[in-house]
Amino acid sequence: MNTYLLSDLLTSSLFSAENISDKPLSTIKQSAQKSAIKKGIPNPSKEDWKYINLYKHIHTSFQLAELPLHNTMKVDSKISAIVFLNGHYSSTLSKNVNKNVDIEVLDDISLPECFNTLVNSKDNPFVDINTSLFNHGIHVNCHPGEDISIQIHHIIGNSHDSQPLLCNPRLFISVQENAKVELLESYTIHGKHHIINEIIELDVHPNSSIDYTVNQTSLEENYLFYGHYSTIKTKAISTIHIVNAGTAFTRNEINASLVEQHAEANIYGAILTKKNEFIDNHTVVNHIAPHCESNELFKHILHDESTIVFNGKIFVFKDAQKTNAYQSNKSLLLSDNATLNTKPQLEIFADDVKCSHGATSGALDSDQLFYLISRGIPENIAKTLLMKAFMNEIIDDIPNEELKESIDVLISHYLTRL
Amino acid sequence: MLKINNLHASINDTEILKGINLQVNAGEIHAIMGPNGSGKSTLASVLAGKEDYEITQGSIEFLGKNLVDMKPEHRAAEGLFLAFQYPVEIPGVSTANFLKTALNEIKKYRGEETLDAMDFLSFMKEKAKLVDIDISFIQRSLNEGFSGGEKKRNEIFQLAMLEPKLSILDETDSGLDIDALKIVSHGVNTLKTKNNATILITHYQRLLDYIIPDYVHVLYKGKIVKSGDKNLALELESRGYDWIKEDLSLA
Repeated sequence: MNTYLLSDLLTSSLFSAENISDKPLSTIKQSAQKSAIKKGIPNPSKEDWKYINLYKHIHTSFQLAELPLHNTMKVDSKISAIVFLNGHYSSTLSKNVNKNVDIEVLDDISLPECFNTLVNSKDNPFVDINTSLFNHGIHVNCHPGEDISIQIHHIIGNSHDSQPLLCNPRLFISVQENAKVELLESYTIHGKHHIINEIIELDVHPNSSIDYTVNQTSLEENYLFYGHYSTIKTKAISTIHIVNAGTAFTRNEINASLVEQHAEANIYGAILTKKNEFIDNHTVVNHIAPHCESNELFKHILHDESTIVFNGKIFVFKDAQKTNAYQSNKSLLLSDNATLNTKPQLEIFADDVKCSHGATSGALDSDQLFYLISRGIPENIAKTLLMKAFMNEIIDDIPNEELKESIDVLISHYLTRL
Repeated sequence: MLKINNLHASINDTEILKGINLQVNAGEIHAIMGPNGSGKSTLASVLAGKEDYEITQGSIEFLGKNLVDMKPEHRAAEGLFLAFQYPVEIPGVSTANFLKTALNEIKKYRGEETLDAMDFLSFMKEKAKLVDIDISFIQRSLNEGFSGGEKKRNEIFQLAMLEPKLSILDETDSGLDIDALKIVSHGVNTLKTKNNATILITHYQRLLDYIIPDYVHVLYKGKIVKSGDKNLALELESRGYDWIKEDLSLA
């Protein structure tokens, strides 16, 4: 098996394939390949990559992940889900999928019309890398008018000493009219230094809603590039909750485009970092149509030498009158050596809009802490209570009760291990 | 129960308490009164263990143990309770969850068995009834959006839950209307036993119409300058503090 370094990936044989057919998917892949090569791996001179030195984080060699022929994986029986194995959809491991959901492997015939058009890959070669290299991506089609609950589970690596892999999970999710979808995504990783370069496109049709929760906790010493791009139509609502804790490196790109009237986008993040962990959240909300609403809140707790970057852009287009767009991020900086770079960015070209953005950062409130301690609660437990309370604003809003509880336990566990 | 001997305490090198002597026994209610800035709230904070204050001289003994070197959470576990003048709001932490944690941590400290969710709930309901507080109120975030009176009632409810040996009520009457004052006083009187003791820190005599103290002390410029029974409070009410200041300057 060939191995690659991030620095030589785009000059490797993986990116020198000649166009072998003019079929739709290979045409898209061919053009993505060119685009990736042209952009190159971004360095901090690019505004959107200003705080990331990628080579500093990702310097180990990796293989391109393939779908194992003989897999010895066992999926937790409690999980009834769409399963991706090393970034490939696994029809054998996926099970109990709702009859109101169609799952088709992306090929020339099944390719949705707007495949790869919902992404925003400006200055970002990782979208193109995914498009060039993905194999066994899927189209998830949620039937109109149905209440649907979906789990997506990724399994990466097969043992603790498995060779680092580059995985490129690819999903296109159609939420048809009047459908109501609750989706939960999670990861199980064996081994370390795997790169997960995932792209999700969501086409959210009129009057539908999707509540998307991505549990990016405990990815440990692995690297996650996560692109989530939704296009939201008339009176549809797209909500995403991101929970990230205990992951060495994460770059999230969350984009929502409100393309028709009375659409709504909600983006929420609960981010906890410690040790040398690094997470960069880049979000873009495009208010293209009038009478739309967007809400965005990221909460951060930083310990040790960790780093969080937040860059939230809101664009209000010329025709997007009566827009309501709100963005806020709040951080608890609990170490002198932690770094927070936050940049809210608002560009408004319409004249009748309500927009706000803000960022706050600080330490735990000493009066609150003393109040708890003076009632007999030891200091470390009191601090954990306050940190959880800080995150509750995000966690309480997660629709899935079971997940909410498990995240609550996970955060307690994470915080007490500090 | 509590023995304070020649206590001196400072904040940012400014001495606030300048030699306090006070003894409180089980079954007693002491009122500490005094004009603004006399050191009343500082005394409460020092007893509860607030770090901002430095004890420069003297000793505090609580149930035979040296309180000065004891962590604030251990003071609570030993049976000391401070009802705050300004209870803080903590969004995201419910009063119930907070009290369950506090109660069980205190039990762990004492080597007692902790309460499970069911036992805690029934215990909480019993205490809520005792101090006449609505249970829905307890499920809400701690003091978030509460009125001044509601916050003080929550302090009394916490007092009921934690069953301390010594309660210090710091200006619990401030900001209360007469109805709230009656409810709070009723709570304190109900919880009174011969085994526990109460220190009421107050500016006004009003509270002492509802909670009758055994002793009244006047704190002035960081010292207890006069002690007496409840009649001293009445005298302060009619004459103000000036006569005490004059007495002192003559002495």
